[in-house]
Amino acid sequence: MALSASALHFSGHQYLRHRLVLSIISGKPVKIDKIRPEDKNPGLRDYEVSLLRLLEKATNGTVIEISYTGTAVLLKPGVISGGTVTHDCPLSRSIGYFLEPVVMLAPFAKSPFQLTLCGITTDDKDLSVDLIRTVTLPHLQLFGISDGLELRIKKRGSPPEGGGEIQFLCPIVKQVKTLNFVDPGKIKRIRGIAHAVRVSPQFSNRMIDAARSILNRYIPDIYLYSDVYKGPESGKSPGYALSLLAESTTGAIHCSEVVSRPGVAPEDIAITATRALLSEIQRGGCVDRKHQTLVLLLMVLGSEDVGRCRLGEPTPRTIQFLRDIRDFFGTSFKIMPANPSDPSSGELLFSCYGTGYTNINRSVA
Amino acid sequence: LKASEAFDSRRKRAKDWMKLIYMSELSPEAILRDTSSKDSAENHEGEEGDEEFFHVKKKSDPLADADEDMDMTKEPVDPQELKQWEDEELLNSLRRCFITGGVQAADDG
Repeated sequence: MALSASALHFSGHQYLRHRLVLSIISGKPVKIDKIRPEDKNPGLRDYEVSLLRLLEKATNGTVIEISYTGTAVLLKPGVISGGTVTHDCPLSRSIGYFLEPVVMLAPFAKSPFQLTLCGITTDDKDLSVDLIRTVTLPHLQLFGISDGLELRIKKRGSPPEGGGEIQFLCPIVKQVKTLNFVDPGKIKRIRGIAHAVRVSPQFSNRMIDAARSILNRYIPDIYLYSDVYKGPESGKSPGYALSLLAESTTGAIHCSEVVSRPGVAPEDIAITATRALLSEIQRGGCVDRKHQTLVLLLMVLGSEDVGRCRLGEPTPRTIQFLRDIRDFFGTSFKIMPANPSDPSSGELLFSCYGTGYTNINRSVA
Repeated sequence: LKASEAFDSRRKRAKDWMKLIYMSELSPEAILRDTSSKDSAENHEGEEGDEEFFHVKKKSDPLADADEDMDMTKEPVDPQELKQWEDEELLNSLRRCFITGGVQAADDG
C-alpha cells in the first residue's frame, strides 16, 4: 500500500507501453487506471496483458496487479534480468508491439537478452521486424550498444494467422554514450527490403520496380532486396510489404514501410511506401520520426553531460513521452529551432543533461 | 513587402515547444493541430482552396480520437497528403537532401 501511494499515476490506455518501460528503467512503480472504462469491453486488451506477461518474464521480482475489471494496473518493477526468454505474441498485434519496449530495456539487463518472439512479423501498426533490424538497431549503435546486437528473422508471419519467429540478441552496457548528433548530412544510399510470402514471388520485383521509378532520379546507390521465404518459413498467411530506408553521410536514417492490403496492387503499395519515405526525408532531422522516443530516452540515460540531437517536428507520441520522461526522471529537454535563420525549417534541436544512469543490474564479472 | 511577409510567417511559425510541452495542459494532438492548422490554412487557401477537409478535422471530438487510438508506432499513411509527391517540382526540390543534389541540379539546369 505504501508503494502504491508513492507510485506514479497515469490514466487511460494510451501510451501504456512507454510508461511501463519508464517505470522499469527508473525503478519507480506506476499505476495506470481508467483503462477503457466506458468501452463495451472495458479494461486491458489481450495484447496488453500479454505484454505485461512478457515484461514479467524479462524481469525478476516485478509485481503486477491488475484490478478485477481490468481497468487498472499497478506495476512494481523488479530488476531487468534478460537472458533467454521466449514469448508467443497474440495475433491481435505484431511482434513489433512487444519488441519495441524490450529494445528499450534490453541494454540495461543483468545478462544479455536472447529473446525469441513468435507471431506476426509485419503489420501496419508497429515497426516490422525488418525496420527494427535495419533502422532501430543502428539507432542503438549511436549510444555504444553494438557488439552482439542482432535480430534474426527465422520465419515470416503475415496477418491474420502469423506463424513468424524472430530472435533478438542484445548486449548489455554499463552506461550509454552521450549523443551529439546535430548534422543530418546528405543521403548517400537507399536500401529496401521487399518481401512476399505465400503469394507470387513476382510481387517483390513489381514493388521494387515501382519504387525505383521514383527513387532512381535521386541517387545511384539504391539496393532493394527481394527477400524470399519459402515453405514453413513463410508463415501461415499470404502478404507482402516494402520497407525502405535512406541513410545519410552522417548516419542519419529515415524509413518508411507499407504493408499489403486486399485489393491493392503491389505497385501501389510500393509507390505509397516510396512517397512516405520522401515525406519522412522532407521532415528533416537526424532521427526517423518513429525512433524519436527511443533516442530521447537514451539521451536522458546518458552520462552526466549535455546530449544534443536534431529532430524534425515531434510526433504526438514523442510529446507525451517527453512529459512522461519528466515525471519519471525529472529531466526536461531544451528545445530550440535548429535553424533560427531559416523560418521555414521545422527542425528542432533537442538537448538535455544526462542522468548518468548506470546499469546496476549488470552482473559484475 | 516580401521581407515583412517572411517575418510574419516566422512569428507565426516559431512555436515555444518547451512551453507547450512542459507548461501547458494541451494534449499532444492539440499542440500539433494548433501548429498545422495555421500552416495548412496558409498553404492551402492560396494553392488549392480545399479548406473543407481541415474544418472537419478541427471539429472532430478529441475524445472520439482517443478511443480509436491504438498505441501504435507507425503513423497511418495519409494518401491525400502523399499525393503532393505527384508534383515534379516538389520531387526535384528534395534533391538538396542527397549527396548528388548539388551536381545534378547543375547538370539539369
